[in-house]
Amino acid sequence: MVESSQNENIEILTYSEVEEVGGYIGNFDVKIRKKARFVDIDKCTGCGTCYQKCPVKVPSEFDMEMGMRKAIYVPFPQAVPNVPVIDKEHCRMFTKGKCSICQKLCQADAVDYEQKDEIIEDRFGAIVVATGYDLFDASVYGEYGGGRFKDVITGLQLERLISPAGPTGGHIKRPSDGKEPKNVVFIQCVGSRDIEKGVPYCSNVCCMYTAKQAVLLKEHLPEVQTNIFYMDIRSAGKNYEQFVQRTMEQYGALYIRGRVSKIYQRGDKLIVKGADTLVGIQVEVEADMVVLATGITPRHDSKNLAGILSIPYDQFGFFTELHPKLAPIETVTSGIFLTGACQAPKDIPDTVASASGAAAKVASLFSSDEMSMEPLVSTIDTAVCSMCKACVEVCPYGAIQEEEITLRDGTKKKQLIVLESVCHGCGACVSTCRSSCIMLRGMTDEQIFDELMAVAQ
Amino acid sequence: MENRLKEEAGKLLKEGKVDYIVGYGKGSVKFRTSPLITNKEEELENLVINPFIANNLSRYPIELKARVGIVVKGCDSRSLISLIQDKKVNREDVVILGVPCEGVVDIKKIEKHIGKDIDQIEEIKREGENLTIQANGSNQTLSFKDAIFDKCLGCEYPTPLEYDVLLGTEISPKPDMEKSLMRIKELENMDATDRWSYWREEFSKCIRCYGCKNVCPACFCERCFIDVNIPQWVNTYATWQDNLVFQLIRTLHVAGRCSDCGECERACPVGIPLRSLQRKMVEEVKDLFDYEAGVDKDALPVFTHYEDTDPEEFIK
Amino acid sequence: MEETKWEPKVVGFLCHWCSYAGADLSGSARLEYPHNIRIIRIPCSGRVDPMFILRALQNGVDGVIVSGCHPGDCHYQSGNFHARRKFAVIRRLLDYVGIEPERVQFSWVAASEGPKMAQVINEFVEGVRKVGPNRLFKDERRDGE
Repeated sequence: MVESSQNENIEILTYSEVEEVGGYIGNFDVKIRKKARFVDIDKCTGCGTCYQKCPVKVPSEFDMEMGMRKAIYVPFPQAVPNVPVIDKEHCRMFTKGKCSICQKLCQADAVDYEQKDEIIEDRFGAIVVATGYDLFDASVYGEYGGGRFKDVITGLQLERLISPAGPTGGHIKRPSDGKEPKNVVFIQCVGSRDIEKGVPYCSNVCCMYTAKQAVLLKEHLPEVQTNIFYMDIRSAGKNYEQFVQRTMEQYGALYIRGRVSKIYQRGDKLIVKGADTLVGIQVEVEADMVVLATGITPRHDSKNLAGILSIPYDQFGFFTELHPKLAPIETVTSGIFLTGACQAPKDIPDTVASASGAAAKVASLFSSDEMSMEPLVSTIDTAVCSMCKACVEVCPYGAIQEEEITLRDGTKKKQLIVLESVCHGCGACVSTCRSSCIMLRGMTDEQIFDELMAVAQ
Repeated sequence: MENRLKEEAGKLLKEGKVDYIVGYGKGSVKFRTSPLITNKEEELENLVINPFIANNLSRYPIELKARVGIVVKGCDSRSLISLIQDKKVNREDVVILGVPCEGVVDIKKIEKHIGKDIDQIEEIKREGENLTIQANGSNQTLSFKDAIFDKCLGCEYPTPLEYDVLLGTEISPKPDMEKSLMRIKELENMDATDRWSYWREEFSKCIRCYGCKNVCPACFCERCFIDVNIPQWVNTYATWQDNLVFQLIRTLHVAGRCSDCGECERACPVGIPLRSLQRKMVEEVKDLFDYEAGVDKDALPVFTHYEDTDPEEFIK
Repeated sequence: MEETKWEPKVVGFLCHWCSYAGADLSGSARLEYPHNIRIIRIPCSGRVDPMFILRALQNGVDGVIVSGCHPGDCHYQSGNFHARRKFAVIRRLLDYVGIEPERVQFSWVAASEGPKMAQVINEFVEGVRKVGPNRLFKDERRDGE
């Protein structure tokens, strides 16, 4: 991100939301709300005094609520831009109307409580959607404690515990009492592949990140014993299977094929009861910490964004590509591309590949001033059109627009035109037009009619 | 009501709020009214409101392309709302003079009831729930209900749904669906072969005058599909099959926008029961999509929108 | 004429992305469906103008089937939803004027549903065979053609 921010051709708008998208490939008119961060980006030097001195402490979202942040904060150390933002919900200036410590201490005079949201309206040639995913909420599983046990954490929380920049500085301590865990249980497929309580699909990444975390745990704490409850190990990918084998053989992870039926507290231990279906016995593990491999779900607001972009989504809320095999990056709206986990659960190599693909698609789109299109495009005979605009309403792409022309005698006339670069040639407008004044080139009424007459003979 | 109309229409013209007044004037045929379109105040004297105001005037604002003060009955207001939904009429460009209406007299029904031709009828007077008809010097009475159009019998919106000035007091609807839809129910109860023979006979009469499409407020296309010859949707020689195809397609085109004003049937010179087709579609659209044309000007037109939950039990 | 030799002649409007591909698949899977159907490929079921159906029946076709993608699967997002509304009223209108409902059929068949396509066509052709030749609409003057 730092590298991209330094590229003169890339402008990064963080803390901003897309509100409206109009236009078409090559000419998208986008309205972006740049939310007020209450700190002037141009003035701030990133010294950090404000968030060191801020008196309000809030659980940190980036640390998965395992550490604390301030009400004025930089979300994580490598954030771009390295400028703090004020959390309006918790900052005392906004909740109680007094404090202003950060403003007083800021030597650059960058804190501005009066800052307003800024609306940016601009024209863009292409849109790449990379909005990512949400984590499955494991609290629906009562058998895993439903959020009651402090030492039952998610994979992403463990990730923060391992991170040198995390809340524990990279020391793996369990949340309840800060002790180093000796025996850790991992549970796979939390939410994934569960039609009853979760989602039916496989989240793709959990098998591998669990194996990686088992390895990292062992490297940090050589004494630790890892136990992994799994349904199937899905290690399809280059070198993935070898990695899982190494996790077992070299790092001593104990893979148990079966599900966990119950977790309960006994003293300072968590008792994990489950089944080992390969041996056909009940197992009970006395664990210090349990890590849930929570699955990937679409972002909670993905359907809303799909509406703004007019791109389809599947039954879960993942955005749908144009074709699952032949056009995995394009969407039905030409000029809008997908990458990453907003489309389906993807791991890092897949995400990087699809991101590179999207970038290449955009680059090739921009490489020439003209583009070739499918010849199946509608045209309107404006001379006989009665402007009922039924076609405008059925067009899924917004390809039919109104324009005003000046006639030879100087009078103005409104008429409908088809934007050829936007039309996909579905023909919904043609069959909706009651006066037959729309023609779908290459699939005209006349062509179909003649076929029909030939067939009827 | 008539005086109130003249007064309001005069005001609209004088204040320059509209360019034209569209209302009813005395017709050239006895009893019947014909549209009165004027921009002169002195002509407003000729405006009438009586039990014979059958014409649906809602087409005129499209053709006049000006600001119009228009007289509408309950049924006409629905056509006008449909046209607003179809973006053919700007709500801001019309001043709607609403006439609450108890039903319009069908002179053909009177002729049939008393067995006399229109030329022999001298006077028709409304007295309470009855009509007194003077023909050849003698008086006959007929219930008002027996003399109004079938569509009026089933009228659910006697008071205009959209108006700027209401020229009378609101009337509560008393629809008699059984009577109004009698012919449709009869047809539904026939078996398919008989239905086919019925329509075959009816459409053999059609002379392709296109009165139905010319009078229909939903048929506002600059060019009708009937005039398209690439491809030739409907053959130009008028066989009964082609007549039926023409009318079926027209029916589908106006479905969801037709509010059963009955003008097509009234205009038909050979007496094809066209309302039985159109009204049937009104019922079907209501049944399938819970939609009534011309009731809400902000409603989404039924055939350019859809619901995920639309019925599809007929699809394999 | 020799009634016994009559074979129904039906037209299928199949959408390019789902049903046409489904029919293709049923072919490559060596599934059989009757040769009575003549398939016309269209981009989307939403492309089918009711006029095609009426004109087909008028010109001596014994039955018309229109098939598109399942709701939600439309390649063009909403074509089949619009088609669904149109088809619902066409069916009822044709029934009302006395055309046997067996002559007009709609179906959703996905590209992966080769067997379903074959089954739908089979059942449809059998249904049309049962109601017999479409003599209703036929213009007698064109009988010799």
